[in-house]
Amino acid sequence: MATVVADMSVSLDGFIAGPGDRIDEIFAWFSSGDTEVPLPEKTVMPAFSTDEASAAELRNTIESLGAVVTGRRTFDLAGGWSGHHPMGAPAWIVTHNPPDGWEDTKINFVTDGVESAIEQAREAAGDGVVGVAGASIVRQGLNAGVLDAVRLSVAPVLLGDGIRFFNDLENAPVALKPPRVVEGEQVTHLYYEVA
Amino acid sequence: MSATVLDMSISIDGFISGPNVGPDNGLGDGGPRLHEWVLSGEPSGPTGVPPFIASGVNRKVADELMSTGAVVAGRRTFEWAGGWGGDHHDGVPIFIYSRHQPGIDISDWPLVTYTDSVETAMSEAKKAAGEKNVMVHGAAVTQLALAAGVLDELELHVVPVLFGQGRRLFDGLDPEQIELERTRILEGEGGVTHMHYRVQH
Repeated sequence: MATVVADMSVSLDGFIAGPGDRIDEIFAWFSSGDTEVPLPEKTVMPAFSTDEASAAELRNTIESLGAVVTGRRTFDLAGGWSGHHPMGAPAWIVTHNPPDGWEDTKINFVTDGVESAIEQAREAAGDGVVGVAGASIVRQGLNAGVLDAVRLSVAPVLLGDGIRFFNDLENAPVALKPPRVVEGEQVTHLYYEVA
Repeated sequence: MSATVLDMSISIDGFISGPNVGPDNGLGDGGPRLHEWVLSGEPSGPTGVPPFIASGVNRKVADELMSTGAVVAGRRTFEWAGGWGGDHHDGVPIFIYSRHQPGIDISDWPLVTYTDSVETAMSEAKKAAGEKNVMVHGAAVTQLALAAGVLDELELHVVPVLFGQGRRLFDGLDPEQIELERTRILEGEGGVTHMHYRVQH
């Protein structure tokens, strides 16, 4: 059975991107240290270079990841990762209008909603992790009750505005279990299983 | 050196109270969940507030907060809490930020001062606290103090629950990033995470 995990870097005030989709501060921890974590596939992204504790978290994430689910906006902003999701797993993109030209990649498009995308990703992931990212996708996953855990990598910054990670939850309050806490150099990783 | 330290319990999604907040429901629906980490057992005494937990990490954090030398809060926080009976802890001075006259009778409470300036509230509280820190409480005060650059540190108690709605701690801040330095993480009992930050002025 796969584990479905919402996994996002956030500012302390809960934004996954600042004004103008700015992500420099939130993702600063990917390049803030000396411990390299190579990416599993050749992509346009360089290897991670972070502190030791965060590097261990990233290695775990990469090794356990079986599939990725995210939204069309994230996909477009990333230029489709040139066909290879940086974490090396096949990706399912929730969209109304699948684009052409991605047939020979590990990118899949799903037009019948988040739950369906997560179900398809689950099958592909085996006993691994289905990583769910993107504010809208995570919200829909939480509302549908199909998330097993939430991992936040909290950056030491207040952004004041942007895209909030958690918004418009329907089935709140959602109780979570006590977190596993990993202290990076400045980033704090909090891993909560849904109770 | 005295520091002004925001002390707030929040849900993972950043709420300090649940929905339907009002004078008789100051923490909103479900809001008391956010404060369970510091309280133990049944309500007791004249205030109806349960006693603090007796030991552990959470007690240590609570003791630090109760060793502050002054308190700054917003009018709503203060008045909905019944003004803490005029004494938050140990008879330390209390400075209330408000643009209006007091909505409750404070004439018998010599520790309490109302001011319409957050900067004044914070600087007077620092003076009164001497070498001790100042405890800061409330969302409105937080937002104004951050904007004015007079908040020195944050001590957030992050409780493992998603509220989905209610009042957010960080709302209406200027879209101007504020850099922080994380100075301490403590894993409390029951899954609360005490996260301490210093504001980079």
